[in-house]
Amino acid sequence: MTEAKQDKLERKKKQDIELTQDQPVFSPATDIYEKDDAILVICDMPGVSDSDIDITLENDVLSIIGRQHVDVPDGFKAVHQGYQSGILRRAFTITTAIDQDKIDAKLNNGVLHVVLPKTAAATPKKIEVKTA
Amino acid sequence: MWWPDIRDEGWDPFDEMRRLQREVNRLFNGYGPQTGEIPALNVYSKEDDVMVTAELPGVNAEKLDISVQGNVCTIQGTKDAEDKAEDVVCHRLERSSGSFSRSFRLPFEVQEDQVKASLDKGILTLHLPRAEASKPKKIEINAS
Repeated sequence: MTEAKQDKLERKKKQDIELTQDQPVFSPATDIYEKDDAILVICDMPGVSDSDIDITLENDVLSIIGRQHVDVPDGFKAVHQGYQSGILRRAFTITTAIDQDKIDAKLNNGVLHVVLPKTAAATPKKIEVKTA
Repeated sequence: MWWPDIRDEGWDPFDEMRRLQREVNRLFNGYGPQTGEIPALNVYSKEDDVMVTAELPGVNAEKLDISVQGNVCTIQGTKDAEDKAEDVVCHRLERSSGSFSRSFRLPFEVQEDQVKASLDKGILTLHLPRAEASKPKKIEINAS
């Protein structure tokens, strides 16, 4: 088996890992933009506190996990459930080299913004063509 | 075979087909989170109180309009798209933007001046107390 195939298989295995908590896992809607010098990941994380978000970048895989904490208010009982709460999880393979120390994440109004700056080596350099 | 008179009854066999199509469309609507009514609501109730929560990530409080009239509550708002620089390539666009509106009817009249709404971490919480006038009155029985 070639190395690439092996790698693919490993990745597949990783995705099948279940979580220990018995909570539904959702894929939150995510936008991804790329600039010359950075990648921006925007992820909907309603009801998630900043302390309940884990962002990791390991072996080119960016994974975002957020845990929603929703309690039924005191004395109330649920009568209609239009949406469920649980764990919000997304993982993306990042193909460009990222400057790990400069990753910046902000949570605002239930929306997570992660800025992944590319390393200087990965930023494209424009080469001027000189006319002789 | 019995066949209704089309000229008199105005019956159209395609009407039946269109009705079937509507039914099937309705059946598959709400399948998955994208379709269905936006925003999705969770409703909690207590004796004379109803609490409604909705997930509205990225919606500013200023862009949210909540109104109550009688027993009908309406949530309206606009979710702005992200401002982005010019030389940006978009790889994935899953988050929706635009305006939404949803109305729902409660089983009682709402005390309009006591409705409370808060928006925290992208979750809207509405507190809708029952109007005094609509509360059932307990009638004392006089034993003679």
